[in-house]
Amino acid sequence: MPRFLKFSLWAGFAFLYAPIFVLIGYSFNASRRGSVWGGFSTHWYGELFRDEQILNAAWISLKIGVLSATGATILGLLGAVAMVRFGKFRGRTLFAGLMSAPLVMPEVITGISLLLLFISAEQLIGWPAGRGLLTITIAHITFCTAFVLVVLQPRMASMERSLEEASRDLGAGPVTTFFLVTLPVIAPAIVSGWLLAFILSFDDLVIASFTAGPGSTTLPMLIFSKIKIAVSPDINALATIIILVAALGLVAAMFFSRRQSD
Amino acid sequence: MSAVLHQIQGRMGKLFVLLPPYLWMILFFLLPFGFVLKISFSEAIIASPPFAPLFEFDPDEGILNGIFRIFNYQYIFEDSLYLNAYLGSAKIATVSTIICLIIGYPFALAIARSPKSKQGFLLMALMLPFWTSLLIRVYAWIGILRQDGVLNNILLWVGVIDEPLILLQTTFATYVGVVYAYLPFMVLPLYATLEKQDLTLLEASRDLGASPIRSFFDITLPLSIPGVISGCMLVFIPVIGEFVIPTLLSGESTLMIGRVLWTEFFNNRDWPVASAVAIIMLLVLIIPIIIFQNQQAKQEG
Amino acid sequence: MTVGNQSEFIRIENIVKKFGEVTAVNNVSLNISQGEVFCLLGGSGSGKSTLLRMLAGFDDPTEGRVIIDGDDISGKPPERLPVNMMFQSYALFPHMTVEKNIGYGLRRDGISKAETKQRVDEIMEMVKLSPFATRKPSQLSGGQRQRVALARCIVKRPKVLMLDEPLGALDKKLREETQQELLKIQRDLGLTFIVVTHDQEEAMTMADRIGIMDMGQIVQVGPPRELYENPNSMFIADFVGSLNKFKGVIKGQDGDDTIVGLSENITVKVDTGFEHNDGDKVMLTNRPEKLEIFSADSAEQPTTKNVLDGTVKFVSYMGEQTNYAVELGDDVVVRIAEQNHHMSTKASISMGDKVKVAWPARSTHLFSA
Repeated sequence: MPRFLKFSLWAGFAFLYAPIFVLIGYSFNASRRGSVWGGFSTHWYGELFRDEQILNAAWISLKIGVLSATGATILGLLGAVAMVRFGKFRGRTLFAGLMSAPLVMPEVITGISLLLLFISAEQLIGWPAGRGLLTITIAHITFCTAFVLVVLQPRMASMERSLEEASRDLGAGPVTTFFLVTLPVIAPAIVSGWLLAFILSFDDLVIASFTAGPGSTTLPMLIFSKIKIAVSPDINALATIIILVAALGLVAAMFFSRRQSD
Repeated sequence: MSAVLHQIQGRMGKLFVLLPPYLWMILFFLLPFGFVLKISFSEAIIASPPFAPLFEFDPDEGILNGIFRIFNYQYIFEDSLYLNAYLGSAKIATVSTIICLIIGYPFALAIARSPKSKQGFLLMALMLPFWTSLLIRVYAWIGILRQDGVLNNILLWVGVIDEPLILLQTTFATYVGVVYAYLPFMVLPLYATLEKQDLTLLEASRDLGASPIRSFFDITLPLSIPGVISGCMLVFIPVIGEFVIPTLLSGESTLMIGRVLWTEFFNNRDWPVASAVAIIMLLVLIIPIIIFQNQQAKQEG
Repeated sequence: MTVGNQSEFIRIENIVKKFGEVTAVNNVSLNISQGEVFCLLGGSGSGKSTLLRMLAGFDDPTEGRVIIDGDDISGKPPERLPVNMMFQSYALFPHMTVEKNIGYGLRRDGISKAETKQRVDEIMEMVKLSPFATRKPSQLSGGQRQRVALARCIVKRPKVLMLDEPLGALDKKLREETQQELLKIQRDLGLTFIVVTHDQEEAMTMADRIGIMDMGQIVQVGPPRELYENPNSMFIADFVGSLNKFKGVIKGQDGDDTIVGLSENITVKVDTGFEHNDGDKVMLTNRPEKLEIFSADSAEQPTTKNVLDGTVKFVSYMGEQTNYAVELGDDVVVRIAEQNHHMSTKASISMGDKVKVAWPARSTHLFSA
């Protein structure tokens, strides 16, 4: 490999990782002021686990994340089946457009439009009554589905068609074939898609801010309100934990996709 | 007879698969734009929700009166704040996209040309920051860029500068944050097209007498154009509406439309103006979004 | 169950398949009898795979119908047909063990776990897979995978087994062995095989009858020998085996023999039932291995009706045989393949030598040009 490429590789990774390591370093700093090294300490981690507000927000984000990831995975899976297996059908272009537009749609637009939908729907039909966990989850499913589809569609397309045909040939109907052959074969991609959707939901600030109601403050919303005001060292500790969990999740996802290629 | 039944069953089965995601996206993605459009023609009032109804039922006449007010749009076009914010966003998005491409292309190429056995690991290393909250990663830059932050400390220690630079709350900080946050979105599609390229094409080009650099411009680059388009759109479009980065890193230095929309909505509670801002943003983005979707459709086919 | 006519076990009636504007299969009719090994031979795009997919129920014919053992299968989904398919890629389920793969079809038919186990064990014994019962497909060799694919089909005792390029993925040595195993199983179980292949050698060695497909139509059906010896068209003659082709003109008749001019100075006698008039333009064909080559000064001399003088342009030694290209004059070049079974003076024939080419009147065919 040319030296220039090697340099870009290392420089690129240094750029991506420097802030993360700085953050992790700060989280073990005993000093309250970030700039001064006051010795190694796990003090801020202790603070974190005594902070009811943070624990509460984390619990809310976790619930929303699991629900959204599950919903988005189901919709994304159905969408991938339709896109890959149904050939040309009427409305396919619109369908493909709707399924991929959320990938690039600015979050403020998705956020404001969903909120206005919820409010108008409440005025018209009385549902959803107020905003909270349910509305955030609906909003998250909407934008996460696009990402799940991005993971699942290529896997589905590269799956050998004859596997499904063999199953039909051996006497299984289309539904049985889907559950006994298709699903197990693409299972690793489904796990990756779910994890990605969970992370996206767990990290989202903007869309959640628009669609949340009183009592449904998510973790990113809480973090944002804290760091907007001042640097707070316990957020460093929280960030470190989140990075660690994300890393574990990613390793898990990669592990599953490795297994799929075997 | 059974053949007809089988066909009907097949059609029902397809609908059963297609309808849930289709209806969901129509209901929660397409339809909401209609409400944004509607409310953008409404008037802000102090109430809950803070906008006047667009249609009023007149009990005397027994008819429904629609009152469309275009003054929200007039207001946006007359106040230079909005125009500047749109232009600011466009400038930041354009420049950041170019920087991402310049940094991201060799980065993606380096990953794609690494030994196959290492590529999985490198991709994982690339994805990891992306899987970590954007909010937290942007927040980390505050610790680096502020006056008593890591970067100033290092520069002081090395002796490049005598007194701390003001880095935070500048346009520079905005670019750093945006490029940092969106670089993976550029690298991933680039990697995907570069990784698929047949390396014997390059060997053939070299064999026919082209230099490595000539071969890059004649073979590698033209074949990676789909990845370049996807990557650029994946950066450009969302950056236009970016809110978190300008709020945390730019201070008053840079005006971006996403933040203006947020302020109108949450701080001024002027939902109709915020809606009009969103509608104009959407109109501006329609062409890039169509380019992006065409690219997606081509890659799929 | 209705039992159909034995020789019309499978009846394909005027089947047409169109994909939009493209006609992939064009009005094919065919009867296949029970216990037969029938080969569909054709190049890519000839329609052979489309025909097979219709027989298996993956595609519905645009027109016409298929009757298997008295039942019209048109429009029925693949899972309800008494036919099974061995896929070219084998299509083994990667997440299931060998045992599970083979038992899959039985379980789908509602056969009990116990009976499935028993029948799977029997089949695994038969195709020598018992030691690999709990392995996944990724842990098997190519030949073993092929046997799993076969076992998975035959365990269901299908009325017809379809094989899509069954030996395509195996290397040359394994092919011959597998071919024999396949035919043994076919005979032992009395199965009807429909084999699709583009490899004429595979078709010739396996099939009782071959149907050659071209551009969506079956151009000739018959036993391998008949197709080779008596092709009904230039296409078939050229498709099966190697061939000498010459443009010629009918010059006249000499008893049973037709006299054909290949050029101004070269005429040959052809013994064939071909209807003709003097002056007709024809294509004349024969097989390189039916011709003989002699050194001009050799003691051994040809006895056939046609003996032509020529010059050797090219010799290539192939091991079991030697190929020659001989120019007969007037730019007429003929290819000759000689078996190397005896050491003769022919071994010394080399490029530029003057030779005689023996050209039997019989084994030559005429087609209208």
